Amino acid sequence: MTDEFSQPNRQSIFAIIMIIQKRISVIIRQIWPIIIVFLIGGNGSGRREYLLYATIVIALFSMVWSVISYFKYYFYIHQDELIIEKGVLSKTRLNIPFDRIQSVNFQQNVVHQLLKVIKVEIDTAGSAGNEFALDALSVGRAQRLRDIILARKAETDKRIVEAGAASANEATHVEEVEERILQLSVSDLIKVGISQNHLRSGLVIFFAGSWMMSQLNEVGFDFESQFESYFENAITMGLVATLIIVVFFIVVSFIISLIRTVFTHFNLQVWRVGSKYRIIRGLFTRKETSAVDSKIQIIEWADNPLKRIFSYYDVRLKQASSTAVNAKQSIFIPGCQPTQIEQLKTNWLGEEALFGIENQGISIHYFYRRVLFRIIFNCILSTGLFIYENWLFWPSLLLLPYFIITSWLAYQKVTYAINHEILHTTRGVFGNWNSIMPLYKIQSVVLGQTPYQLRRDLATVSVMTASGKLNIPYVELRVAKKLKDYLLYRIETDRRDWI
Amino acid sequence: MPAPFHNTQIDIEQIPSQAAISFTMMKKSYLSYGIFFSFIFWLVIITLVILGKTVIGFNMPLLLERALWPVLIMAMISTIVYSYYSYFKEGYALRDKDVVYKEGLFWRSIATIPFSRIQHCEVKEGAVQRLFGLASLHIYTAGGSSSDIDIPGLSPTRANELKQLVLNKINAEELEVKRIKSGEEE
Repeated sequence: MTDEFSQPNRQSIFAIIMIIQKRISVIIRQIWPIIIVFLIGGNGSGRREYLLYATIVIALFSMVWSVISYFKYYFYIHQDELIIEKGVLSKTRLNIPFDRIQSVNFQQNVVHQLLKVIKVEIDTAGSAGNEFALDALSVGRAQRLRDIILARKAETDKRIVEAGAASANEATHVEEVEERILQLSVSDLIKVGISQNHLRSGLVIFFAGSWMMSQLNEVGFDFESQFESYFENAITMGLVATLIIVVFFIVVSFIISLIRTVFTHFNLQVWRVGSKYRIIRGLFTRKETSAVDSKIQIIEWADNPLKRIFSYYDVRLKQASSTAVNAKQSIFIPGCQPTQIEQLKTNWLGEEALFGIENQGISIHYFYRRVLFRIIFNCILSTGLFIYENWLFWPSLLLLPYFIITSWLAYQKVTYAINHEILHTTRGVFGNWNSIMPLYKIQSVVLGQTPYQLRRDLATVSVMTASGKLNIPYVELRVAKKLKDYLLYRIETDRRDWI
Repeated sequence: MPAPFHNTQIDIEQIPSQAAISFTMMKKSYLSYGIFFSFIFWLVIITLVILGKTVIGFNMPLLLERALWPVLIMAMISTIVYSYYSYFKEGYALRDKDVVYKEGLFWRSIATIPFSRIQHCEVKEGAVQRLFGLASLHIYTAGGSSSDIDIPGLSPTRANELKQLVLNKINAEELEVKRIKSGEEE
């Protein structure tokens, strides 16, 4: 069955469309302010024509280039490697050994869906930028390619471990059990969307807006004068009008984040397939990602006061990455219920790993220090405000109770639990953040002491993993040392592969 | 494929403790390097201030003008004193299964990386470091730069010895894993 891919293959002919689409979107992203100026119409008609010609030339050139590069792009399987040959002027040949491949993910935007093709992304364990993608393969071919890659990968992995004959039975394809863990309907997604962090999406909109404005400013739009007149009006219109605008802004950001959530996570499904999770979602762009158990380093789940009403958690499957943790390596699954999280955990870690978990609090000094630092900050702020504008002094004092309450909440929510197999930490102020990981995936352990901790015989244990770190802050030095010794003992005696 | 499940009890007191480690201090010239470095740093800043005052004619309030030199001198002295004392808090140690590196006078930290988690390591020699006959050993892990450690203040020969030792340990570790794995299969 591997014959299909043993000869150099081209992608589906529709890949040309995808390549052109990609190129055009890159070009548009770079020159869109010019296009807008062009459409709205600057003065000087002669320049407009030049622009038009230039655009046409660029467009034609990139089209021709796309077509050529399509015909010069081959992929095939040779021995234990996936090989990609490409390049119009300078040729490149990429060899991707199967045991380096971490996952094969599918993506379909609207055009893909219409043409019944799939973009195949191949994720490797290498450094950043070592991802490969086939722009378009027909659905059947994409699935066959993935199955072959994954099967061959399993074989080579086995051979590397020197499994020998004993596990030969396993290698000959046990039908993988498929089980659906989670599916979200539109009404679920609306609930998820409602409970998003709207402050954050508001900020994103704000920054995107100001970025766009600065881009337009550069090509000669005068926003500032318009804004000035607008603000003058706002002052004369009075507080009510400003309030209306603020409310409008909040409503808009709310609606946008709601729509965004429904679109990106449309018909979200989480499947357990063999020893990996397969996640499918998206309306306009359908994505199929998979996360192999061994590559997942941490499972994180979090709520916020809004989500608590619906008893929903956001789950992140954090995978190993050689560079710093980027968003791509962390798979985000919103709208998980506690039972589903339990299922994710037991699937990943095994049932007996979760026995005997008892969360312990930390030293009260965590609260004291947090409050102390915030009081100092508040004093500086208040004094500054007092010098600047007398009356601001009193409202700024109101921050004090806020700081004390949030510090208390933060102190209450930091806990940790360790048994022979896993580490579980919690944190949060208004929400609850949970992280869980098996001890054998720890990369290194750091015991740190700040001057404040030094005087009180306290310490922070930082557990470094291949996808971020977990902290156990403010525990007694004696306990911290014990913890560190135990963690190291567990890492150094456990021979399982962490990836 | 799950390994056979064992759950033998561990005597917590028997786990090797890090309290007993005796750390090796950095080379003596690393101390002079630290002092030299903080001296040069403040010298540059003082030069910049002088240039700013004379060439650009930068004016400042009287209070700041009077406090300027005492503050600069104090800062210089205190960083030099700081780098002197922190030298004695820095050290490294190699155990059978891991590398330990500690540092910090006020903000202390002891980092430990098991050999089985080291990706690779390299010896680095900066231009200024070389003047002092120093090299550093950078140990890379899979956790990104936040969990890497950099052991400075080694003599170049020592750094290369350590590097070789670490590489040997990594190889030994890998062989051991392979041996155990193939043992389990049978």
